[in-house]
Amino acid sequence: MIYDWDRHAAVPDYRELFPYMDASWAKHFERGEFLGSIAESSNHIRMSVRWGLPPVSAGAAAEADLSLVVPHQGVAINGWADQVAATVFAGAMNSYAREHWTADRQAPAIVVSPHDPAWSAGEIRRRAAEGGFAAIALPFGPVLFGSAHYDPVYAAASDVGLPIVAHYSGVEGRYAGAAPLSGGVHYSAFSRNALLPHLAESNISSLAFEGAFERFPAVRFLFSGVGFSWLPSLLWRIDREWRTFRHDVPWVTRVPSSYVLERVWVTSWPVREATLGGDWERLFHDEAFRGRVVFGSHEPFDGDSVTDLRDQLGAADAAQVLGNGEGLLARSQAVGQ
Amino acid sequence: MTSPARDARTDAREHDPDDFERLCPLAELELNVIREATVGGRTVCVVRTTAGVFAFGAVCPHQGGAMRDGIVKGTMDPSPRNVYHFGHQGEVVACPWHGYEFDVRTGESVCGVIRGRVGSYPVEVRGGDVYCSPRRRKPRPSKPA
Repeated sequence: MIYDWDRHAAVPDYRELFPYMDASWAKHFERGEFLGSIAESSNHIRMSVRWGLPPVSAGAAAEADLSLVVPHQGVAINGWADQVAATVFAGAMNSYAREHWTADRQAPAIVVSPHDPAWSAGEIRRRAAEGGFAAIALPFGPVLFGSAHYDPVYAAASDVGLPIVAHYSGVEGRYAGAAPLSGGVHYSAFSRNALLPHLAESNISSLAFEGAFERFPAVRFLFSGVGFSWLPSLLWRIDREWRTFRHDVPWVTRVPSSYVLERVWVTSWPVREATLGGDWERLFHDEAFRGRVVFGSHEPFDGDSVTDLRDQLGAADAAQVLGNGEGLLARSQAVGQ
Repeated sequence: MTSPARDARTDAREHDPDDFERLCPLAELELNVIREATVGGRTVCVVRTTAGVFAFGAVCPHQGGAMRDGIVKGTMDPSPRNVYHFGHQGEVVACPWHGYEFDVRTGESVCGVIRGRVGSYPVEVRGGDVYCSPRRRKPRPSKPA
């Protein structure tokens, strides 16, 4: 089986969302400064050479048994100042996604807001009841994922049995409403792009040390589009801290990496980051790590194809990574909550 | 978790009292000051704490830290987030190098932080003197997963 957990789709024109929202909200969004500025940046804000060009979508991967569609325009609400408008926009995006991006071998993610967990929990339950969705896209907000702030989101995710997918929108480290990057505010978009793994490392550490894995044992997380070669060293570091300071986090009752190695996955793009100098064989020789990497093509944003994966990892390891996504499939019945 | 107090499973009386060796007068042991002694030809650490008198291995199983320089303390029991339950004062010793905690009664790593354990040796106080057996306590049998 082949699973592609990172494909992107975009609304060609934001006005296509208007039928999916209250007419008065549509009038609010109809303003030129909204349509102009946001449409301009539809192809992953400042993260693509296609920036400024008309929005593009990847569609389902030809070889994949299931492709997850991330509506990246929706994920970009993490940078919005008007957080009420953001939920209206995300809700309309979810309605549009269900109608346009649901197919036999393709399913969209439910976009929720990191700024409004109560609304997000309701949206998760509504959309899961409708069916057709394969995941919950939780954008990176200024509050780290381990915080109790997200407990309503995780409770809903546990109930409906869908994994949380965290994919950057492109405004992280730039817009005040979104997550910052470690170290400071970067002048260059290319610095930000290169340092996006910070987002995953910060949030995985937060999930581990703030006890979220203990509170919600059924919730699964996929960190998408942020690479993967950093995972072994991160887990070594958080384990080392826990061994010395367990008494300061007594709610973390076992070695933190054990939670991550059960419930967190990372996508394979860009696969070349771990194939230089034999890093794949060196860092991911252990099945515990190798099993966490799922195929994510990142198409249509100059991502990796199935052929790229096989060329870089070899046929056997590529076959495993292509199939690892099975662990993220929807659970018909929630476990442990 | 290895609960430091409740999981003490062996008692000095389980051992042949004849193999106990006299170490020193109890009065010489300052509270919470770890000192080394030789028992049966091997070096052990001996300490008097508010919880009793204990003998344990001289070397941390992690990277070989000298346990004579360790810190006698208590620890936190598992708890919900942002809630602390401190207890076991005098039943835990922390390695001076990385702070790994060990149960002074059993030698086991508190809460299974590492697989290794420091040795643990039965101690008795007889007539005001401290006696120690050179027979290391056996680890608890592994619990089925």
